[in-house]
Amino acid sequence: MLEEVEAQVVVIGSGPSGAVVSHTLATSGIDVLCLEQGDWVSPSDYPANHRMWELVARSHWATQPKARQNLADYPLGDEFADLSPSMYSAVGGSSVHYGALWPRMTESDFRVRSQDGVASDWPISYDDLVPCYAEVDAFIGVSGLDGDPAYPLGLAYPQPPQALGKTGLSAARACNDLGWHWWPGTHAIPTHPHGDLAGCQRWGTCVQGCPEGSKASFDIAYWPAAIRAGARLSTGARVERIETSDDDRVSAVSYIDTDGVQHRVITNQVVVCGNGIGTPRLLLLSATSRHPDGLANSSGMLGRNLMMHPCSCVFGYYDEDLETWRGPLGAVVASMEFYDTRPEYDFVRGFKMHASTVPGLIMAGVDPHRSLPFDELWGARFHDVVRKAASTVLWSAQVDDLPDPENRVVLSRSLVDSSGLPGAEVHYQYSENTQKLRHHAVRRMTEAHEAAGAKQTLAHLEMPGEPGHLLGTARMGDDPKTSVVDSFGRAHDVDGLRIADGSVFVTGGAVNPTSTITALALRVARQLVADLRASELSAT
Amino acid sequence: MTGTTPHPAVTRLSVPTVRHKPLRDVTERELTYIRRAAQVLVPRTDQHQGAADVAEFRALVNEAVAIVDWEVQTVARLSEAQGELDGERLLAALETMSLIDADAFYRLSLIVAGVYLYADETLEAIGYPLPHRNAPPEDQVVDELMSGVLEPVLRRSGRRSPLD
Repeated sequence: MLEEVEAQVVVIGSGPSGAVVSHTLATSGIDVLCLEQGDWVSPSDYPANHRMWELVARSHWATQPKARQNLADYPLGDEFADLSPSMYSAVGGSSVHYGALWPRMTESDFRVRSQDGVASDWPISYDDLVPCYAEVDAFIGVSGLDGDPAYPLGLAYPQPPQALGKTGLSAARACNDLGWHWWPGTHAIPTHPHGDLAGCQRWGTCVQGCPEGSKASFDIAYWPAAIRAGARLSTGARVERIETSDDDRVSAVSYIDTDGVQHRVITNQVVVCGNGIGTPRLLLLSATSRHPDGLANSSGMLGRNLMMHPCSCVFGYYDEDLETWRGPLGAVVASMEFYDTRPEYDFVRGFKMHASTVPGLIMAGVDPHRSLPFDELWGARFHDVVRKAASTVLWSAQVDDLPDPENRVVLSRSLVDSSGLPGAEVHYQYSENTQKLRHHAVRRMTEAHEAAGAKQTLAHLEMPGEPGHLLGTARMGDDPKTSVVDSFGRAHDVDGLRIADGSVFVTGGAVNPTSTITALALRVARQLVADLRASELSAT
Repeated sequence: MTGTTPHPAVTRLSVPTVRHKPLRDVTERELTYIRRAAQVLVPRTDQHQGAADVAEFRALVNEAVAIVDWEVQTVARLSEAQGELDGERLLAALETMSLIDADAFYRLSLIVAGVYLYADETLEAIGYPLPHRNAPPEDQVVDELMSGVLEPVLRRSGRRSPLD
């Protein structure tokens, strides 16, 4: 039996962007209902609570849904993709298993066309986002060091940076010797208690969930405050379609609960926050006779231009005990030395690289060596491998993979989720520019290890388990012929439909995107509040 | 159309319950097989004990299987196929399996590696800690940054130190 309720605004997806939108609307007195297909994760479930925590991290907590197969996960066809995407379906979304690296995009990321003659410029600038970046940073208690010269003057953080430790000092000195930029890493991990978050105690298991409650996964960083402000959150609610009227206005959202019961929420305002794969999937599922190619897809850009930040890494093994079991796992130091286009190279744009500790001997030693011939790891060599892994530094780099319309998300014709809805199929191939960037990044990271005195390095052109950065599949722009939404996330084609996740990125930059995703989400939500207020005034 | 098949350990939407015991205990035949695999994958040497030598081998195997192969299907299949092998013949079979049945080899080798690495005596021998609270001293980061390590970056950028 179909059950119906009403909501002033429905938010679809409770990850970072959905949490920020819901919180912003609720604190503005707006009735908001968020629908989430997963459920809550308890800190007691985190792998760090188990002795063999690295085994847990590689099975039920695997980063890729195909390996994990939780009930909330929908299937991803990746046979046509050079990369298999990572994501997490739960309250807090993929922030449940992100590293909480929190760099902002740079000024140049917003004007790639003007600067480098490729891709497109964003319809907004870095300066447009600064107030939103700062507001989210202040809410979370982001830790970092003020004054990074890779950014305009004035960039400051509410909490002091994490300690560099022996690993950070070693990597920093190597960068100094090479004449490279570096800066202490910025994290959505407060160094001291802040709001609903604890201060970091350096467990090192950040990606698999912080048992201290310090990492700003959005289930603990934003949702408690959003609920206190009055936001409603329904878990186990898998949205099957967004309904529209004949005059192209949002009219309702229908979803299926875990018992297979269909529900309908009557609303004329929807904000989609399903990530760069889930969002186009839902809008494609919402096709109608008036929108036969998917909702808000008159441009044909829906699902296209998928960017995923290919990630390469180089493990370095050191004689000196660098205490690399300490957390947080992320960027002890980050270097933007090769971030922008340089005339001497035959590629455009660049990469951010960061040095990290590597807690866990399977992550530091066993897994990296699986790429080598069998007897380089197994047999008597195993003892040497795991002992040298006790002091391992990881340099990793994510590259700016420029938008390509052929890299896209479509509905799967063969896979369905546990509710019977078609899964997503990902088509993604590295461009020549991306390949050159990856190889260059590996050479530079190897150089950094050598400058730091590593006794051995082990390069991986493709870092296992990465990436979870899903961007660009509903790009923003001023022209409805070439974009899906405007700069405030408002769909060009459908009144009352907004998108507030990484789908709206025009280009991807090469920094971890969650700070920019949440800043954009805050900007979208603020404008929605203003639009609703204006609508109320015009009605009276 | 085909639907997804949830992992048998899944009982909740977003977080499967992590099992401390497998669906059934590992049989003696399976345990023998895992022990033989452990003897060749992580063998005893003059300096180090092997994975099969750890004191709590049986308990650790059951704990690892519960996490990696809860239904014991992979272990059961492999012990059936390779149960008569040991030594060099088993090592050669495992090397072949790593190429043609990579997922099964990954599970088996993860169990063996986990049993060895998370045994008390190995953690002590390597001197490697389990995750734990280890907050830095309050002024550590200040001392680090005041050491002058940032000076080269600031000099090139023309920026003043944020610590001034």
